[in-house]
Amino acid sequence: MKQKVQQKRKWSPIYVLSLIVLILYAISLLGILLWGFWTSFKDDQTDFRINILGLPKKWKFSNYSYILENFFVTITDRETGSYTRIGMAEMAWNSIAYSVGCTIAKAGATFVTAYACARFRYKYSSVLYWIVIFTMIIPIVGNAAAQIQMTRKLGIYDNYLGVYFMNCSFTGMHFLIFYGIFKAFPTGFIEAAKMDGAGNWMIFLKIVTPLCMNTLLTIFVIDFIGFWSGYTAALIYMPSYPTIALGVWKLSTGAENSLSTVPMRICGAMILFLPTFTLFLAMNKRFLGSLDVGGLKG
Amino acid sequence: MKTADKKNKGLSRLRRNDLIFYICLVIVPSLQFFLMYVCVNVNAILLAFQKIDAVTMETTWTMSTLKEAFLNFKTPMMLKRLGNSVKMYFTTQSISMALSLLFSNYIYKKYPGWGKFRVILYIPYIISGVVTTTLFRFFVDRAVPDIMQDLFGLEMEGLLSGPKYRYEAIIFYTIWLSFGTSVLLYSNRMSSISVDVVEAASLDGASGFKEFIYITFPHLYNLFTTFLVTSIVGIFTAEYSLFTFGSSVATMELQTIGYWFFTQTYDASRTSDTMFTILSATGIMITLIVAPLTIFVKHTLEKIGPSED
Repeated sequence: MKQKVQQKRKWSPIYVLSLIVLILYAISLLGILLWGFWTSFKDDQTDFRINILGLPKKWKFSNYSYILENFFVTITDRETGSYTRIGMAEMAWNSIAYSVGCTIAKAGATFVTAYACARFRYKYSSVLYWIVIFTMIIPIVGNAAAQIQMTRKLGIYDNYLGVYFMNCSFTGMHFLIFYGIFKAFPTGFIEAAKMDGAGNWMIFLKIVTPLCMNTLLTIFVIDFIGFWSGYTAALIYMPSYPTIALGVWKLSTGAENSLSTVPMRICGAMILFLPTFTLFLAMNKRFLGSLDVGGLKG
Repeated sequence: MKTADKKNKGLSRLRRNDLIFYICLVIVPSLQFFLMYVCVNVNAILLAFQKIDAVTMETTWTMSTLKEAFLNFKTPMMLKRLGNSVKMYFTTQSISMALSLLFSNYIYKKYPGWGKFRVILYIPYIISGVVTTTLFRFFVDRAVPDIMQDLFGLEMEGLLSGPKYRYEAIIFYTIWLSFGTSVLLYSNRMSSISVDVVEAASLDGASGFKEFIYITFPHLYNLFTTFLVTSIVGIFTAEYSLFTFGSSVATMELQTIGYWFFTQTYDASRTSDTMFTILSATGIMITLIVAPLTIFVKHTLEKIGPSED
């Protein structure tokens, strides 16, 4: 049957065009990534300036250790005006604390809220569901200034607990993914567990969560990569705790002296890129699995 | 009677336990929504009617902030930004949507290399924007002129460092990185199309194009409209990575409303709150335009779209 379907496949012009464009796209993307990788090992004066495209004449692995030891981000205290220098090690710690905490907050909040809405038919569940739809359809523009002021008044600005709380949001497409899963969940498991005397927490933690672990981990990894890679939220809401992404941005756009060369700046980018790329290569089947979401209705 | 009483008490206890469990699950996300969405947006509305004195930091209630925001929006610079926003939105959206559907269809049909292409198309989604802008900027500014010189003997300036090709380079960059989630979700949705329907169409002599128009596209129309509707706000919020590229790239010829919003908010967060009022007022003005526009587009797409039947 599968062979018959394959034999019937015709190479129409549209598929030929698709293949050509996809090949060009793959060459452009992988080409630039590879070029960036080997450029990060070049010496600026003796290699990069005379050999922009080619492989390094001599692989300068010390570029990486130089960046890790010598690159600092200077942060200014808004109230006192004092300066503090933050090195790469501290930025790495900030990135881990920020990414892991925010991921747990966001994925966790979405997961539990979707479960509550799907499992319990209180009127409030419908309210929460329609809040998700409403926030996806009705855009609000330009409220970042009001949000900054609000976070300062609440005392959750520029600290970890505050930014974790800010990310305890259940709105967004991932809610619909989890909601769809919980709605389709066979209630037989839950009924059988109840008859055996299991309480709500036991059912949620020992039956439902393990069965949804695949999707939960996928969402978790997607959110983690988003938080690890992004720098604008940390730039605005946690200016005293610069992350690696923020550091690399500053290195890329405003570094001085020996760090301002192209190989050094690309080296910084590679430090940010390689961990998430490695994670993706190890788990790409999880990313590209069967995540599906319905349309917006209402 | 006693048995009935016991049963009622038992049910009441179960319902109470369910309610306590439910509250435990939703209380923190609900509080977050109340503070970070409801209170923030109420604060934005209140800020739009305030003026903060730059010296004394005293707040006064006034209509002048809204008037000032409106007049600011009519200045040549802001109108230029608005024009850039609309132009770049339609250019990038139309090309990337068309290519997303093309690539998704290729992957759904499992043509040669589909698995590898699916992975490659998703890679930009997992790479930080800082990494891609850094690599792209130095490649098009240093490597591309070098290639043109070696291959064609042409002397040219960098695509981003010089003004001649800067706009096209930003458009290309935006489209180049836009495929990740859309291709994944489109192709996953396409794979749920019934094989029998596709076979029947094939037996009836339907070409690939007709199959796409009459079977595939109606099946994913819901998802397509979701992407389109949620993207409309991008007209006013997208900054096309201009902030990440740096101020040398973000010239007036390229600046968008989204870029202006972000840079003003960032600057204000580091200095004082006086600009918060104007930014909130401008945001409300734009929300009053984009919210009805989004609803209108959504309803129009639902009315005119194809049905799976």
